[in-house]
Amino acid sequence: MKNSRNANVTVLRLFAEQLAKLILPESLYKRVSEAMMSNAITFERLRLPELSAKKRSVFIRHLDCGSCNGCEIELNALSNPVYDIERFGIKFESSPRHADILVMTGPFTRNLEEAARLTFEAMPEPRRVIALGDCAADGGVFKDSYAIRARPGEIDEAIREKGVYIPGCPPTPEEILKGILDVLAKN
Amino acid sequence: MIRAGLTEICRKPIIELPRRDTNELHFITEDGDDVVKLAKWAKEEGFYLCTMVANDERFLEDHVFKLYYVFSASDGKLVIIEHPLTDPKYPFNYASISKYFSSVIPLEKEALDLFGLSPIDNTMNQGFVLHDPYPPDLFPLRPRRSMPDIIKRIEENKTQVSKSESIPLPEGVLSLPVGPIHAGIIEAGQFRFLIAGEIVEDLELRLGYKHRGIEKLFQTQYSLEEGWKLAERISGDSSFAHSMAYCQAVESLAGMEPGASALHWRGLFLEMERLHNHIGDVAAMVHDMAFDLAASRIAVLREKSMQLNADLGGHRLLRNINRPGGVELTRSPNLSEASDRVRELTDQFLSLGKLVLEMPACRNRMIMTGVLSLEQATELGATGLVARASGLGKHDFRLRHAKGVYAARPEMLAEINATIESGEDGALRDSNGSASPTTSRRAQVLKEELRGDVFARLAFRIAEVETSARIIEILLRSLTDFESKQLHEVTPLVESLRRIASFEFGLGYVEGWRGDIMYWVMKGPGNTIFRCKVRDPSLFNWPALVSAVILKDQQSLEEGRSSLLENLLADFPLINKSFNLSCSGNDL
Repeated sequence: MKNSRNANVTVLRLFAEQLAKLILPESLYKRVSEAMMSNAITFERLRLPELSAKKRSVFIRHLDCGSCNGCEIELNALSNPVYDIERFGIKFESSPRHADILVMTGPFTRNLEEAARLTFEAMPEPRRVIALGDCAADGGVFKDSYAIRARPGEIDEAIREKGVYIPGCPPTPEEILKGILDVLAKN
Repeated sequence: MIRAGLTEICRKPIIELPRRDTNELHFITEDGDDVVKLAKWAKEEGFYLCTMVANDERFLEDHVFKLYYVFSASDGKLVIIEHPLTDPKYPFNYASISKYFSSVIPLEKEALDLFGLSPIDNTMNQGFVLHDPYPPDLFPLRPRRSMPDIIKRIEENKTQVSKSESIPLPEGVLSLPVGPIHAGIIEAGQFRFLIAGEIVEDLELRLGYKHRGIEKLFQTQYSLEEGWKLAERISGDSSFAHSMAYCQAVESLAGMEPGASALHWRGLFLEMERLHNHIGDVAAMVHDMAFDLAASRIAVLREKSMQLNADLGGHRLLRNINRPGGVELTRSPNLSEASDRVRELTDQFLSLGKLVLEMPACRNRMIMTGVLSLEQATELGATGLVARASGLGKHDFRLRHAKGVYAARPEMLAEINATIESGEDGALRDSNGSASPTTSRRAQVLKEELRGDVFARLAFRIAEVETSARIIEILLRSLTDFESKQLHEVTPLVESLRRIASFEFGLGYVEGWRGDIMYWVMKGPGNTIFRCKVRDPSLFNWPALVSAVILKDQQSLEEGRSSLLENLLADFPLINKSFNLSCSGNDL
């Protein structure tokens, strides 16, 4: 009985903190949260004013093409409160049909070719694609393998014309965030 | 003991070869029946199958294919059984030990795709890692097939035979394929659920989508000194454990061990990797239970531990540190500050973990969900945290085969042992350390009935975070005490490798956060790699996941407990998170 009361008190405390986020003026809350998390990504570092001037939100779909799951760890990290990607209007989407941007990780394996192509085709136009990580750029350490193939031309074109390459093995969450903002700036 | 046992069972005399490492025993037997008998004996003795390595030695002195089985004996020895396929009637077939060690099946399927070797009474089909785009007779790991040659053959391939089978469904059962592209940010693999109503009747896994030809890349593109670059990119979350196992295998070939400070650094980073992954897994599981306030808090702690990784080792996933012969660090980290940071984040994590374990809604969601019984875990050869949470407490390579800093520092082993003995209630202890009547009763229930469910795996993760934090503190303290914190401690191996004859092999094994990782590396001419077999713990734990999701336990059915043990489709994401297996480590 005692334990469950303790648990409830802690939940209330956590809830109060979230409430503070809602009711405090942003500048004050920003100071509080920055004090809470050192190394937090500040709005200025990410050129947020530029972005908010556009007043747009984007939906992103992740597509694994044979990565080592390092890039996935960093993509997932973007959703944690330190980076909190949704405050920029950027949201990870679960269906390619609702996605504006496709984020491809990994060197493009033969076994995933068909699934990757279908995912790309399911996206509505205009399809913007981000090639995330060194493997997605040139195959990385897996470059010469028999199991890796060149990406289909149309996907490659979408990266070159409307997308970006984000290098790194894996790139840090901050670099990924910057890359996504670059795509927004480009379009 | 092992020697006497082996000689007694075998029909033909068994030959023992000397190994430099006294913890390894190497035997050769040509007789297939003897191998099966050995396997039966090994099962009775409680051995654990570490790996099976297929190797094409047709152009070496023996002119045959060979299989190497590596078993872990409970007394700390590794038993290697070399089995040349000398029977001229069956040059590509062998007697399978899957009757006694079902964990060998994925390894056999791999050998079928990559070498064209199959059990004599073969019932398996190709397509485990090489799917439809590959011609059926490719066998890319045979050493005479060069990379351009293989690519040419794949691109000219016109066979349109589908390698996936379709199974007829019973009435009222629906097949629901999920994947290979998933809705979340996770890896590519396909789950085919057979559901009757809400209940998962059966689950088929189709993996191999992420096959990147890693073992061929080791053979053709990487030298023994450079192979760590590829090894640490096999499974990103276990980057450090993989590169460490690779480096140990090369060091074992060269017959040397790195210096004391290098071993301490390795131990430190291995535990740091365990820390950030376990914390991340707990965050993901709590998120799946819709307790998002706590999940976000724990996710922040994971981020903090990854930032600590970057500050200590120079990389958030601890890459680019290990080298065969030692470690290489780019900066001099602030160790005392690191110690404070570890303590702070572990304290916060443990209080949040306690909250989750006590939260009635979470308990309700986790207890009796996804039960992997002790029998199933033993039968399937499950490994790592999954096996420990199912009651195989001592299944930890840090204890069974202590190496490096673990062998040198008994107080660290004592910490690990303490976690196991306190069992699942370790994480439930009150803040003053004593077990309250309610928690000890709960632990009692846990020990008797609830072993191997999602709750047990979560509780074990939390307990292991605590252990890792203590080990990290011990190691940070010793590293501060070292005269000079040597940052570039790499013993050159080139000379000692040159002296080693070609076609010798070395073993490297590490208890990563997910379970034991084993590397088997055979040296080729010069400093080339003739064969590097990687065995990630996921390979053995995927079948365990299937077993935890579907109810196959006849006894529970008879006792009428089935409705408690059945899992709904909506339970799967949580069970899957509680295992958190790697597709890339499985597919290679």
